[in-house]
Amino acid sequence: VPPAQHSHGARAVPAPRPGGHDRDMLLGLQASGCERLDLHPDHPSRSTSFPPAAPGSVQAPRETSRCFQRTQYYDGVLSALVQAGIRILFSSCQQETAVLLRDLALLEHRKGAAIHVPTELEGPRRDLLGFYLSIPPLSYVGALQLCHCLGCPRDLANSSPSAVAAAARLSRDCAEEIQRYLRHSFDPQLLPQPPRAGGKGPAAPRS
Amino acid sequence: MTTKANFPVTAGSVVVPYGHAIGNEKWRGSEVAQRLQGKVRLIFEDGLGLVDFHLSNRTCILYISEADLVAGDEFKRRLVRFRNASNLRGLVIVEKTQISDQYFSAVQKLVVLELGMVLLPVANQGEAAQLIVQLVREQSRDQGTNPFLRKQRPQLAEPALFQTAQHIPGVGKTKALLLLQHFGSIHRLCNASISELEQVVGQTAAQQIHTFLCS
Repeated sequence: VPPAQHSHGARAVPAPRPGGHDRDMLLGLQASGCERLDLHPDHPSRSTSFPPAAPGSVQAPRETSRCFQRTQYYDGVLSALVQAGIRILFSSCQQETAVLLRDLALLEHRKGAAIHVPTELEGPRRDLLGFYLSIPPLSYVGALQLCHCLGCPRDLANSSPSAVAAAARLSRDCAEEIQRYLRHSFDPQLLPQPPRAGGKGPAAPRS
Repeated sequence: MTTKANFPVTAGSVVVPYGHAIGNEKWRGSEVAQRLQGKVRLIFEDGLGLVDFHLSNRTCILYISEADLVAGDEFKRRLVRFRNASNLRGLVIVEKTQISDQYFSAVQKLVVLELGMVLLPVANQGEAAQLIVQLVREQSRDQGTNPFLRKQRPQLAEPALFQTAQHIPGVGKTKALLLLQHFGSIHRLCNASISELEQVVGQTAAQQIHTFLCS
């Protein structure tokens, strides 16, 4: 799961649907045991409380499970994540995490939400991916699908939102937002820093 | 239960004010209820059906105890009934103890992956109460304080457009600005002919840009 998916789903989803498009998952939080993310900044000692195991460390799991004390802060973070519509999966070891990732991939596949295009791009297509990634509403996967499903930027610009949505398996909203973006009338005054007057380029600015 | 087939699974019309929670009558006198006292305004009601606690924003808590997990599949039927019968946001709190730990993975798979609901493990009722307090607080808070919600971006498209133009091979800041100023939008830029491009950026770059955008 590419990290760029975060840009897709970090907005709140009021009522998450199963297998929907909000695919953000937070792995690695767990409610017991010491490998969990320690979320309490006031007690750094806890997150580092792995004594370099007394010899005969068979008892280590029992020892470490004692050191987890659920804090208000931990519950507060969980609540904020829930409120933001972010899905949380709990895992207590890497093996469980692997199983969860496999289940997620299978679920995406079953729901038709799997990435159905090659994830590796070669040559000029990499530039195309960079170009599409710079379009704000597009996630990494969305940009990847555009690379494979639409011929070139001109085709994208001249296609209707419904055609784009169907070809690249994007939501209708996303496709419409892309078209609005491509047609947005550029006003240089609205750039955060006014561009340097008289650039060094070979072509003299004309007006 | 079957005699109440027409009875709403949850008290869906209940609007819970911020800072409040409505608890199923069966929780009266429980450890959760005691620990919530003074922190959340808890009101008990009959007829919440499958739901254990109602929070604001159409959120419901379904509580699965260690005993439920050990007892078998009844809790699964309860979750599925809730999921199918209501459009409320279901939040499942499950007791994950040394005894019920073995069931946790399967429950998580059902609740999160199959039913699309939220699952939060706790060790006991005391932890559940602490968690509910934070959930209630988070709901009454201003959304702007939530670090996981995307900040409202300034809605200006210009900086992004400037970046997009620079992703065309051979185009840097200067040419990007010239192109955008001349053509006005990415859409018009995409539809520009080579000769139109040449007027702005010169012959070589025009050819390169045209190849990128149109083939």
